[in-house]
Amino acid sequence: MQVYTTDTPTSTSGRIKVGIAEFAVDTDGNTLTTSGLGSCIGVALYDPVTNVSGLAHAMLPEANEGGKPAKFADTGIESLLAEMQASGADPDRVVAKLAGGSNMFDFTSTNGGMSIGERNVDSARKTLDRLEIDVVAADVGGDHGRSLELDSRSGDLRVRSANAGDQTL
Amino acid sequence: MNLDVRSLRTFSRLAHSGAEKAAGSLTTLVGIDTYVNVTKVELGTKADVESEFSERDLVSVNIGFNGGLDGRTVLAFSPESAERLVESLMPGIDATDADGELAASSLKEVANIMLGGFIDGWADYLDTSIDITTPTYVAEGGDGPLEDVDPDGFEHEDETERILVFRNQLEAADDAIGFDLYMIPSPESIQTIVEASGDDGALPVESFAAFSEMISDGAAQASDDISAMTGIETDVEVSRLSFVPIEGVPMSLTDAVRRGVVLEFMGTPSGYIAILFDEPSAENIASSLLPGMEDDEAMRQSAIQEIGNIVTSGFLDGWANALETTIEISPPKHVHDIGSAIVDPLATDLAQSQEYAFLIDSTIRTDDDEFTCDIYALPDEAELRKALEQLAPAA
Amino acid sequence: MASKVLVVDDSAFMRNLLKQLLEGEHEVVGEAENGVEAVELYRELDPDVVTMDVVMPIRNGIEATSEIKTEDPGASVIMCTSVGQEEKMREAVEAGADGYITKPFQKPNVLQAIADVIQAEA
Repeated sequence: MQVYTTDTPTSTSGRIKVGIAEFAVDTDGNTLTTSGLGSCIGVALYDPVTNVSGLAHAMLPEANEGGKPAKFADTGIESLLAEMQASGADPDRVVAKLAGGSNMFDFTSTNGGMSIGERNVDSARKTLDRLEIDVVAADVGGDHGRSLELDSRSGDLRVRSANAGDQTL
Repeated sequence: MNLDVRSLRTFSRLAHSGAEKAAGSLTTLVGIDTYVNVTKVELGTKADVESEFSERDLVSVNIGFNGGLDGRTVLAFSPESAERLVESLMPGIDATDADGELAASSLKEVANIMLGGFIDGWADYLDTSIDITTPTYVAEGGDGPLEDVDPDGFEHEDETERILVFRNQLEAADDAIGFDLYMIPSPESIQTIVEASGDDGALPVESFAAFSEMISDGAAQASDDISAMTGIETDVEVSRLSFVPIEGVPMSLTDAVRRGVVLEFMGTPSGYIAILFDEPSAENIASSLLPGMEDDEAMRQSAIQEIGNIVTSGFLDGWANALETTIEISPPKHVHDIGSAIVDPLATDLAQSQEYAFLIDSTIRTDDDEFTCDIYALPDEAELRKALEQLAPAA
Repeated sequence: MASKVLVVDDSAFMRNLLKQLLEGEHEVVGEAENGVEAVELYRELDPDVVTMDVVMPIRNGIEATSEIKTEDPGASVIMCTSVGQEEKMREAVEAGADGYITKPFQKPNVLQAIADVIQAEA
C-alpha cells in the first residue's frame, strides 16, 4: 500500500514569522518578521546578489548543552549562515545587521557585570567577526524593546519600537 | 498520581510537535501560513478553561480520542477567525452564517484534519494506536466544551476540579486568524504518558494542585486590593499555572504596547513578576486614582508603580505564608513598551539556568471592561520545585 | 483515462472538495457518508476507485474497506484520512487498502494515487 503525504508549502502570505529561539531563511522575496526583542538579539543576514536572506532571534550569548542552536547567538548565527549557504548564499557576500540586546532592567543577577543584552550583542559581533561577515548596520542596546521586519528583496531591516521611534537599517 | 519535570517536558514536546503538524495541515489546506506560538501544559480548573470560552465567545470543534490514550481535543476559534477560515476554505459562501451546514462542515473537517495530525505523534511515541471520534461543532454560547470531561483523579481537598490541559496557541502570519488547540487527556492517560517518560523526582499531583490553588487565592487577593484602591469592582477572570519552554514565555504576549511594572522577588522561590495593563486600561486606572491629574506623567507612573506594589504583595503574601517563608520584593520598575519585549528579559535571565519555566498568569478584569490587568509571575524552576516539595503531603 | 470514483466521507465539505478536485479528470459517480452507505453504493455503482475516509459514524472506513475487498478482491480502495498513525496504516493494509492519502492533500497526490491503483489493477 502506497502512502501519499503532502509537504507543507512555503509561505503564501509573503510573511514568515520567526519565533524566539528560531531562525528562518528566505529565497523568494518574502518578509521575515520577529517581535518582542528585549535583551534578545536579532541578526539579519543578507546576500545582495542572490537575495537569500536570514533572520535569527537568539536569547542567550553562548551555546550550552541541551539547547537548540537557534537559542544562542553564536550557534544561531553559524546555523543560519550554513542554511543560507545551502540555499545559494555566498558567505563572502553576506552582510549582517543587528538589532536588540537592550538593557531594560537592572536585575540583581547581573551583579554589576555586563547585562545579558550586552553579552548577546558582544557574542553576535564576535561570531560574525570570526565568520568574516561585516556588520553594516546596528541598532542595539538602550532600554527599550524592538520588533523587526527584514525585506528579503532589498535587505532592508525595519526596526520598530514603542517609544524610541522606528527606523530602517 | 505523580508528575515530574521530565514527563512535563515530554508532554510539552509531544504537544508542540503535534501542534506544528496541525499548523502545517492548515497551511496546506487553506494556504494561510500558520505558526505555533506557544505550547503550554496547564493545570487549572475546568471552570477556568470554560470561562475563557464564554468570555471570548469562542466557537469550537471537539474530537474525542480513545484507545492507547483517552481524552478530548478541542479546536477553539473566535467567531471572526472562524469566518475568515470558512472564507478561505470556500470563497463565495456566506461565511457569517457559521452555523450554516456547509460552513460548520468545513470547520469540522479542518478540525478533523488538524486534530488527527496532532494525535498521530502521541500514538507513535507510545507505540500504540489511538482512535478519534467524529467531530462535534459547538457554536458560540453553546454548552461548555468540557461539560462531560471527567476530572476524576484531580480532586484536591477543596473539591475544586483541576485538570491538566495542553494548550497550543496558533496564529496566522498576518495575525488575521488566531486559535487555540486544546488537548485534555484523562487522568489514566496522563499516568500512561508519565510512566512512558520515566519518573524523575516526581511530585504528587496534589502539590501542583495546592500550588495552583495558592495562585488562585493570590490572584483573588490582588483583585480585592485593586478594587479597594480604585473603588472599581474587579474579578479574577483566569488564573493559571503552566509549564512552558522558556522561549514560549515572551511569545505568549503580543506586540501590543503595555504599561505597567516589573519586579523581582527573592526568597524560596525567587523570580520575576510583571503587572501589565493595555494602554486604555492604564489611562482608566490613572484617571480613577488621580482625578484631575491624569496628565501629570510622573504622577501617573508613580500611581502605576504603587498599584504594582500592592498587587504583587497581595499575590505573593499567600505563597510566603503557605510555604512558611518570606519573599522579598524589589522596588517596582515602571515599563511602557512592546508587551512581549517587556517579558523577554525576565525569561532570558531565567533561561541561563533552565530550559522550561513554570509560568503563572492571572487576569483581573472589571465587569464593564474598564480595565484589564495581567499578572505574569516567573519563579525560578529549581527553587519552585523545592518549595513544592514542602507542600507535598508527608508520604 | 477517466475513472468512476465513489467518494466516501462523513464531511460534506470534504466530499465537495474531492468532487471539485476530480472534476474534468475523473467522474464522481456517487457519494457516501458512512461505511454502510459505502458498501451499498459500491454494490450498486461498481466504481473503479473508492476514496475512503476512516473515521465516520455508523461504520468506519477500515471495516467498510474490509467488506468491499472481501466481496470484490479486485476493488481499488484508497484511504483518505487525517489519521497518520503507523498502527492505523497497518490496519488499513490488513483491510486490503490499495493506497493511503493523508489529509490535507493536494490535487497531484490524489490524482497520482488514483493513477497508481488503476495501473496496478490493469
